[in-house]
Amino acid sequence: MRRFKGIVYLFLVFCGCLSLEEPELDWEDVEAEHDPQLNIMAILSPDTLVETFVRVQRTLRVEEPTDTLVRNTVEGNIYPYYASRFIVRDARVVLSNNSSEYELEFFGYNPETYQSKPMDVYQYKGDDLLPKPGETWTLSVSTPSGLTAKGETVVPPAPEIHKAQLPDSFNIHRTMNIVWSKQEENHQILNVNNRLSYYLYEENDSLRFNDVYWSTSCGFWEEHLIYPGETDWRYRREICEGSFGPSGDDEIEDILMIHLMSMDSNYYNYFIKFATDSEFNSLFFGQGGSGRSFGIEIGIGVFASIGVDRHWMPIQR
Amino acid sequence: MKNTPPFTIRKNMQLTVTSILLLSCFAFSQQGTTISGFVREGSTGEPLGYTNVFIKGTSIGAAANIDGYYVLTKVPAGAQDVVASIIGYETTSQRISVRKGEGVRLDFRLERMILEGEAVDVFGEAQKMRQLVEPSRISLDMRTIETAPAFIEPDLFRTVQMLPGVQTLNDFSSALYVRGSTPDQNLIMLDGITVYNPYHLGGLFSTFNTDAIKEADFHAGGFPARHGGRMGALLNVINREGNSEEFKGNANVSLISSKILLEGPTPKIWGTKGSWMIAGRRTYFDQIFNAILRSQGENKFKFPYYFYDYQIKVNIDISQDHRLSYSRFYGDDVLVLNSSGENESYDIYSDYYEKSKESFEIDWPWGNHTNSLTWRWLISPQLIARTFLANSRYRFNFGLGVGQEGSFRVGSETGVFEEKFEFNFFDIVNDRTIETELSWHGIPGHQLIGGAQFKKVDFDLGMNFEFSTQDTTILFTPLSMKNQTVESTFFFQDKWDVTQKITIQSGGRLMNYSLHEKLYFDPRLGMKYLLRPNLSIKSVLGRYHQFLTIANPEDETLRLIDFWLGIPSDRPGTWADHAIVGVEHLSEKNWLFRAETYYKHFQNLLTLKQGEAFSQSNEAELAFTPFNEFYETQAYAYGLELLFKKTAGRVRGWVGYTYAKTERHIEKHGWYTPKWDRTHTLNIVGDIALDKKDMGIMSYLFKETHLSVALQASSGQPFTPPLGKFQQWRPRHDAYLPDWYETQSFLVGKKNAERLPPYFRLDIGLKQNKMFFNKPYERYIQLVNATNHVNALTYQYKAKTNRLTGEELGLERAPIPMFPFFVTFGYRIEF
Repeated sequence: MRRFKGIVYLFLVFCGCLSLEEPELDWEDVEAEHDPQLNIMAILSPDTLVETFVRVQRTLRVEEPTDTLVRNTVEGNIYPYYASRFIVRDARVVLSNNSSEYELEFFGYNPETYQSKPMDVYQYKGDDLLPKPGETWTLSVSTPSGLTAKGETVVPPAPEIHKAQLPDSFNIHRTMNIVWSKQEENHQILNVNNRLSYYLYEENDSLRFNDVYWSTSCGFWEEHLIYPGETDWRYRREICEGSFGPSGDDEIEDILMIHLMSMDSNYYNYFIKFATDSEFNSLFFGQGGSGRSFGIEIGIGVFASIGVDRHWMPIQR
Repeated sequence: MKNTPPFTIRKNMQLTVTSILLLSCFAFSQQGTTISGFVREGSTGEPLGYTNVFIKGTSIGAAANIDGYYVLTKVPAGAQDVVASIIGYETTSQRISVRKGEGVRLDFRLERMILEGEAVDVFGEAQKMRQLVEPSRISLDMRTIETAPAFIEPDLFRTVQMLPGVQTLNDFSSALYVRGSTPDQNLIMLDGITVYNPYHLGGLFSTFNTDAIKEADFHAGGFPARHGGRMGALLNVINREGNSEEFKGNANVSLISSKILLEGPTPKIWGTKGSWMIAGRRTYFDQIFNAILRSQGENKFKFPYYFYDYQIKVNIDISQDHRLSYSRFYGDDVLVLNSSGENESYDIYSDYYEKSKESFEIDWPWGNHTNSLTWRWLISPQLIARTFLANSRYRFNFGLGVGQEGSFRVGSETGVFEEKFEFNFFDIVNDRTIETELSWHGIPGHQLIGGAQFKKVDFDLGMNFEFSTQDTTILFTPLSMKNQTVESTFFFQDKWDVTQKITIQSGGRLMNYSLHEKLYFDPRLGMKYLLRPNLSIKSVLGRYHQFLTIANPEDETLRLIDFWLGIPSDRPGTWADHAIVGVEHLSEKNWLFRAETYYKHFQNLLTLKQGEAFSQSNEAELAFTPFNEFYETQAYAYGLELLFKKTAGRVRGWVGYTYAKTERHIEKHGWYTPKWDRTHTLNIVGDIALDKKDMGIMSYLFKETHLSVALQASSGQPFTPPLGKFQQWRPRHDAYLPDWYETQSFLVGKKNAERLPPYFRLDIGLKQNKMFFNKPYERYIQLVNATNHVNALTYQYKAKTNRLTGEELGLERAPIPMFPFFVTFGYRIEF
């Protein structure tokens, strides 16, 4: 046994001689053969709050820079910012149905509206672009560099919340059955959440908020994906330890928002069915994929149409 | 979940027993003049399988089976010289007198032959070449396993990885990818018991202690009907029986573990005779590390990981015809990490005092436990029954616990609090097998094997969270997949020496899988044609069904554990067809040359959907189901393998070349090359005895010294290349106003369309046998990746940035290196 111990000690001494040489790594530029193509996200919407828009971008080769530093000079002051190289700002974007064509204009960064309006999008300036359920719309995008994309969508039926069957107010201790008009072929998505009435105002008979992303009280947020044929769903506030209202103040009345959105199959496939399906996933590289296209030909992306109905009610404690 | 009704098992058992009785009666009625017995090694009593036993001056002869048992039939009456011969042992002859119709028992003890300057292969290639029909088979004994320089310590799987047809995922894994098959498709057995996760340290080492191994039979494919249940390769590891003559032992200290093996005869009680062997291994780094910490006064932290395994084998010959063998294997990896701390606080303004204790604990054992009992009964000289009861359990159980408890005081009020969070993730596979096999040697020119096997496997894969306070406990079980499957199998196999040149081995397996209401049949057909005594052509056709799979992501780079599942009831059984043709030549100078080509077709394979949340098969449910959603997968593989192997002489080893092609198909990606595919692989493994007599002073220096070399060069493995960048559109569904945003993603090309740089590794070892106070010992040093070649595990990427402007430019990549150059060494002593 003593001899055995001796061998172990001897071995430990030898351990000090253990050599381990880290090889040097050669970093190399990644190059690949890829012809850039257009990457479109176009949403056709008849809703007054969600306006129809088209985002036009292009894919970049792996060795291309993704942004450019721009030094914007306003009244002698330099305002530097990074301009994305993905965004295509000079495309010709045309939406059309069987009878009319609508050419959209590019809206870039606007310091007055950047918080309330989307930027770097193509939108129609007029007020006669009114998609109707069942209509087929086409999209045509072309750029001076020769990139093109075409798309097609069929406007889904307008969603309808059966407001008459809803209570006047929502009691947080009770559940509430939300009923809507059945859609036989289209998926819908129902979102429920609360907002503080403090930020609420009405404009043109519509409910508006001063701050879109104001955080809400916990327990109210629910999302329910509605499959074709479904007609109702029971809502309840989840048990939540968070306070209700700012600082748990009982005095402030709160409102419950109910938002029902119908969608065409392009929207459903791109944003829901395959949203979490990362085609490629690597521990050392991250996620990736082919980009996928639904409703878009030649390029990648999605050309989708939606319909929206919404309702609100006060919340009672 | 569906269980097989008990009456089905009972019915099957009745059928088996009836078959055994019928065969026994038939066998007894066929008794003629026979000589039978066992051939064993003289000094240790270990069986000498494949020994040629023949009657001098006649054409009557037979080969011993793997247990060393032989049967000579139709022996003429009178005095006969019976000869036993195997390379490396003294040929032994015994003269006996035989009467007509008599059965004679004649056992042999062969003494090892020491050839000048020659090392010999105990399991003679020549015998195997002549006797075995199946191609793609290689037997590895301990000497062969140790031919290659070891990675830290000799490892069976690392040696198998150097054989043609076997591919590896990376340096960190000893898992075997054989001819397009994944590791879960390989049947790995230890003394006949299925071992589900035969790895330590996430695959860095295999669980098999080489000191205890007598022989490992590796079939790259086309294995006969005797074995089944998997559709890839077969590795049957047979442990040493133990020395039946005297007590012996050895110990081995390597860089990471210490090993010990003890063996000896069993006490001779009631006329029984037998042997036992116990071998154990444990990593000791944790003990050294903890001792150092203790010596420095650090008692809280402990090195969190170790692994151990031990094997026991006991053989008892109750009588001349009955033998009982017990085999046990226990091996675990254990990761234990815990910490605790005490806090005390006081807030003077609120007069709040709190004293609390926090604890954190990870307890994660994983490994295999197996037990088996085998009863071998020589019913008659021609009929041998072997009944086998086995239990194999694989489990991992990851447990995480975080807790806080304490007391507080506010003014004059006091109270206590307690919070505890526990997380468990586990997979337990419990395999119970009963099997009976009958071997019949009653018909000259035929070796018949038949039997039945019932395998009941419980799978339990689950995950649960528990949160508890003093008065409330919330238990959440997001994953609970329990399954019980029963595989009932009848098999038969006949090896028929049609002529002196042609041998046909045919057979089949009839199977019932309890979750499917149908019978499966796997036919097997093999043929060998001896062109010359040392040159043969072999071919095999066969179908191989498998009713279990693993639910591990296909593209994972490093795998620590396997998640086993039975094939679900709504999925068809997975199967593969093997077609193999090969030619084998053994030269007079002990060079074995083998060339083989194969084609494999796989059907109904299951590939786990990686990270997908949506169940397409059932659109009414949007559920996160990470372990039971699969893509139906097809695959095929073909290749050519060349092997030059020298098993005796001063220079031993082999050169292997593999050309292999594997393609898989799933709907999502179409046809693609799997990650483990390497088109060209060259392996050179050699062991050279350096102590040549005419080397003068050098012969003293290199006395009993061996130089070993292992070189592996292969094509790079496939990977998916990035082609470009794009913005992925994402929705933010809000109750007031929906919004859409974008995240940057990479555009990738076709799955696994490009390959990493070629792989190259040269390992060199020096081994020397010495004496220390009349005790033999061995010392060795190994240089791993002697050329320090950068072999890529995969690529790592980073964005290039303009330092002046902050603009994000292109992308850079560099290989993540696997083993760098390093040195290991160790000692082995015998006593």
